[in-house]
Amino acid sequence: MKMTVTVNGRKRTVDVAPLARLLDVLRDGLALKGTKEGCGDGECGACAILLDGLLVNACCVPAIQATGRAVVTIEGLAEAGEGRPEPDRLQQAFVDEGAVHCGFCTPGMIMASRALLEERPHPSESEIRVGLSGSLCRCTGYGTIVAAVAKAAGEGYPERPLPWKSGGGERPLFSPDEAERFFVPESLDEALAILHRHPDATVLAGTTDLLPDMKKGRAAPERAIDLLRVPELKGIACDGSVIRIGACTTNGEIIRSPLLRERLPVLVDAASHSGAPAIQNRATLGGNVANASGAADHLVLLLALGASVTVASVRGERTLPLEDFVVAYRKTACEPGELIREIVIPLPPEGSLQKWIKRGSRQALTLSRVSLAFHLEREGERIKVFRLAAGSMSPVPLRLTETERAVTGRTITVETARLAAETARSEIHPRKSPDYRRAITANLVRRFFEELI
Amino acid sequence: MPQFNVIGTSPPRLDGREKVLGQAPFIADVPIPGCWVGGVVASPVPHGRIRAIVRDPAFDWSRVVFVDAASLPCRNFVHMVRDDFPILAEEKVTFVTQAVALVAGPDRATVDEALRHVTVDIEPLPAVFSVDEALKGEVVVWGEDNVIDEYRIDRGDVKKAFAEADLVVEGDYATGLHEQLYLENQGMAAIPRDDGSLEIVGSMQCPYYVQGALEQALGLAPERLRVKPCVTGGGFGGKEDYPSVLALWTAVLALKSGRPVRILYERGQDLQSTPKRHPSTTRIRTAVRRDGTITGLEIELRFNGGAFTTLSRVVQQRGMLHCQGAYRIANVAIHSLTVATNMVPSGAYRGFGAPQGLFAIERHMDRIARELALDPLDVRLKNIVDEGDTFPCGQKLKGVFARQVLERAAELSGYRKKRALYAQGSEGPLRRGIGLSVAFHGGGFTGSGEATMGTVVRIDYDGAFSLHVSSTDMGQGALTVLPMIAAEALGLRPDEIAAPRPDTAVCPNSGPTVASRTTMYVGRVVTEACKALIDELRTFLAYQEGISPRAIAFTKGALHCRSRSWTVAQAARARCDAQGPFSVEGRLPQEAAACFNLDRFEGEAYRSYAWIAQAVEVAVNVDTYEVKPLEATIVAEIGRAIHPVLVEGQIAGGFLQALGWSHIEDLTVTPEGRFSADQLNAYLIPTTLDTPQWHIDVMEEPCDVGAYGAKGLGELPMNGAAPAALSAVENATGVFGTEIPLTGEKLFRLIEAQGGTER
Ligand SMILES: Cc1cc2nc3c(=O)[nH]c(=O)nc-3n(C[C@H](O)[C@H](O)[C@H](O)COP(=O)(O)OP(=O)(O)OC[C@H]3O[C@@H](n4cnc5c(N)ncnc54)[C@H](O)[C@@H]3O)c2cc1C
Ligand code: FES
Ligand code: FES
Repeated sequence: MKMTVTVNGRKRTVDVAPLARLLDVLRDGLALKGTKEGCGDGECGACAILLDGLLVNACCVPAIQATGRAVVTIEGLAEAGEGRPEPDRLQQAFVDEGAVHCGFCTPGMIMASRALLEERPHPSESEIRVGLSGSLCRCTGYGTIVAAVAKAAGEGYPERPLPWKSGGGERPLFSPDEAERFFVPESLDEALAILHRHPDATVLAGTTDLLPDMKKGRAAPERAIDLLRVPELKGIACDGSVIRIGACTTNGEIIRSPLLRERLPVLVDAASHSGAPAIQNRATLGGNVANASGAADHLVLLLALGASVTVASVRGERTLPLEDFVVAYRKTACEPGELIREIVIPLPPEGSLQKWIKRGSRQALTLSRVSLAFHLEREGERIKVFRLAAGSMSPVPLRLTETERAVTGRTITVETARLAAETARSEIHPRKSPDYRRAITANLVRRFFEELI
Repeated sequence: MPQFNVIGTSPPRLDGREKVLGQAPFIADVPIPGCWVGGVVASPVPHGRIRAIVRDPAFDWSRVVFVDAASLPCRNFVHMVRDDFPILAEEKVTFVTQAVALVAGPDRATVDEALRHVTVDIEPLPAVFSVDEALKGEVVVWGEDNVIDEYRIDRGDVKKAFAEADLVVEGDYATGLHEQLYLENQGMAAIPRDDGSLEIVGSMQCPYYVQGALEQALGLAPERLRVKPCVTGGGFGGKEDYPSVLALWTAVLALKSGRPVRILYERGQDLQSTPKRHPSTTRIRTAVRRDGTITGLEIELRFNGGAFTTLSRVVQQRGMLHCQGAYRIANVAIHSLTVATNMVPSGAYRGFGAPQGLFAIERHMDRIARELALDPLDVRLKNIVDEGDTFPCGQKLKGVFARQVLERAAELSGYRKKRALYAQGSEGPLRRGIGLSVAFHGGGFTGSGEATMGTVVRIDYDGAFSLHVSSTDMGQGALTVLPMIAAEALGLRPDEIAAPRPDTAVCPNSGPTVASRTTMYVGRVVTEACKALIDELRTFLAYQEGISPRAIAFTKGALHCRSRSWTVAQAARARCDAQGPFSVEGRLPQEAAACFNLDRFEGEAYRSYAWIAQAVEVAVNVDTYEVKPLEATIVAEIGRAIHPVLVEGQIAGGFLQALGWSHIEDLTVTPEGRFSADQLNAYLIPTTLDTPQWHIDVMEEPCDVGAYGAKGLGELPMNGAAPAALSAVENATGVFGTEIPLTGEKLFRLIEAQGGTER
């Protein structure tokens, strides 16, 4: 296909495969070698760039989705000097603070820093650390990098907001063969019609699951439909007693949503502990649900929140409780021709409590080894409603219904805490490291109640 | 303290600009016109006899070139410590991923397709992956008994010490595989030139190792083998030996195809097939007096070498020479083995055997303290080496600052107060703990290595100065620091001396970029070259002025005779104008190298040791068994900090690698003989959020060998972080970890075995 993309302010047109990685388009197609590949799995941040102003990993973005958008790479930050580019203040701060060692992480690290400073001109140290938590550096121990970002921020960087936050909106120009296989619908009806004609097509959301899978040879879509241009699949709205979140809403949008911060902070919490910023800006709620993996963080929380899933097809829409939607590992109730339209979450009643806890293998950018989500409603001293969901311990996340039953109606005491913990311990059956995961689960459940006494 | 102009300042690194602009050329970025892509047919099994290599006729093999051992146009070995590592497996494979054949083609897709059309028919043989299994001798991987190397040190009367001990304290310790995880994967390209010579470009630490390996296998004269490192995206030892392998593969493919060939590893391939830090087990017995004095020490140190020698012998030697710790112990018996298994050969990783041995001894010091109910700091102070003490290899020590760094780290971190406070436990899931350790590292090659290396450095002047070394800058800053040293010696500004990336057609052999030797030894030789330059200029000026060279003095960065003075730049310009461009060389004076008897394992193991002590503070979540490092107080005595910002960067960077190894970097060998990680989400290194706050304090006690007193620094911060972290976990939870990585699951088991953490 022919793709037109605005790179560092210039419109560029290249011939590429629709699912080619933006990383390769930049490096090979446009000879912009500043963006690096350290893993190709979204795990290192060396390939980070800005896409329509947001930090993303270029190894997880397919060309078809980058078409018509604005890309900023490390080459785009430099100031035009006399005949040669000059480092901008941020780049210079990296040099001055000794934040550059081997330099391989540096371009991605600087892009992540820029993205952070665009959003938070005066970040605290811990905000800097969070902002850079998806960018690995093996050389520096990060201290000098954090100092460089703080220095640039202190100098008032960026002086001007990024000029290139949207592209020209061009559509990909497919070859005749590709036109039969790749689609970029711009409305839900159009998307559903295509899906009706090609029920075997893979739908593309944030592609953070899909592109790494393709690299490993676990997926090789023959046909694909981009969902990111469909406005109906975006957005967060409060609608009476429920919150509706469009399937293509990203974790980044969830984190930035004032509505969710106020009405459903637990979802913001889960979104901010899923992946790291560059992944969050791409990963969608719908994709997480559709993937139906045991380690999918949102699935766990959505189960405890009692969410349901609305799917749509040319035949119309239907809404299912999440429990019924996720059928088995990597299998959902989506029929051919259907896609997830939105997730519907009941607004938690006043005074109720939600909590989400994830134990990964490190502090950021890690899959859950154990994740738990709690929803608790009390009536006086007694537990009126209790929902508990657990992830990473079964092929798909599960509600721990025995534990829920065991404590419902009881008052919260040390004894209740112990009972909940022990019931949860015996209710889960993790395949790998069972006693370890059971112990964590029991500890966390006990702690949840003990903290309420 | 001497006054310096350049030393001790921190000018911006010379390659910083191109790196922040995204313009630094790494091997994947270098345009090579007409370049083909190389690929490797890798053994899927850990041990087996090759019956046949079958190429499917369904593929058009004329589209690619194909090489196996039988069609290799050269001798089949990669020159390293021993020449036992074949370029391509011949009759047997002895590890998963071992190269059986090579393919090159015009693009990735063609090569991948070709690779899919090759099957290696292998008769599988039983495989062994652990040292214990391998020592049973039922499966022979290497030599006759799988023992790659064995060394002993015996000093004093160990038997007597144990007979008279108040207490005998014993312990077993283990360290796991550790991946360097340079962020840039391995990559190399070979470019055949019209005159029949070969140019090799790529990511590497040691251009002359690569040249040597090519020379030995291909039989080409060194002048026809030009090796040029690209900007190298981290090495940490991982690009010491393996680049020689990649260079030979690409060279063979280039010779066969007549085209340039490049091999770029993907992360999965890099994780699966390149050398890691040797896993180790250590058994320690100590004879101890009730006051904590150690009178006798027995150590049995075992390394899992994987299938071939690679660098194991020297890793093991360094392990031997550090494993007694920074302690004064009169009666010592150390026995070490490197054992071959059907694992990917282990190789070099920052610290090179020392971190494994030091982990064990430092944990053992904590164990002695535990058994005697003393504080670990006091047990250490009781036994700490001081000036004039003797190490087990018989070396009488000079320039010892172990006590100073230890006391200072304890003081700066508030160790004593915190240790006592945290031991009382606390409410809630988060338990804090603090632990401390002391370590050291010998700078430069082990034993007589520096004496036989023949390090040469050259300075050219052709209107401007350039400094030529074979040291690569893989991030540590060598090509910023070495010109600083020259600038100091010559009274110039650092930016008046160019330090180009090495190119064996241009630079002399100043040795490999390893062993914490670059600032110390290569830097020293830079100063020798500067002396030669001054002599050269003095001779010239004397001739010009018609006076004796002795009448010309060099002080305060300028040459003076009674009536005139010249800056070095002026004098060089005058010399160049009169006689044309010129060059001088520097070499290492013999007295700067150590002298060691390897057969008896005795003598001066290193000319100088750098010292480090560290207090690590952690929070352990006893609900989730997560360890989070919060603070790291590190005191390092490194002789001289040439560039303090780079020094702190080396310390924090190295330390974080060691902290990662201590609790989250978990790599094992699967029953099929593969490494457990083939992508980054399965091998986790610390992120910004896994990183403690750094409190780094540098002490400078110049040594008489290194440039301006510098000691080796690169590996030092790797050596003591892990035991300090485990000691902190012990302080927080009461459990005594003996094995790293101390993953959440292992911590859980220890806490369970102890019956919880409530104290
Ligand atoms: C580095 C990294 C870290 C990660 N960390 C985490 C983590 O901490 N926690 C976690 O839970 N996940 C994590 N993930 C996984 C992934 O980011 C999430 O699962 C994400 O929510 C998937 O959304 P997506 O939009 O990227 O999905 P995509 O990759 O676009 O799609 C995934 C699958 O869902 C299908 N699909 C997508 N949208 C729809 C729809 N509307 N209707 C029907 N089918 C649809 C696609 O066809 C595809 O099969 C991580 C991934 C990476 C690469
Ligand atoms: S290359 Fe590592 S995140 Fe893209
Ligand atoms: S500077 Fe080398 S990985 Fe960050």
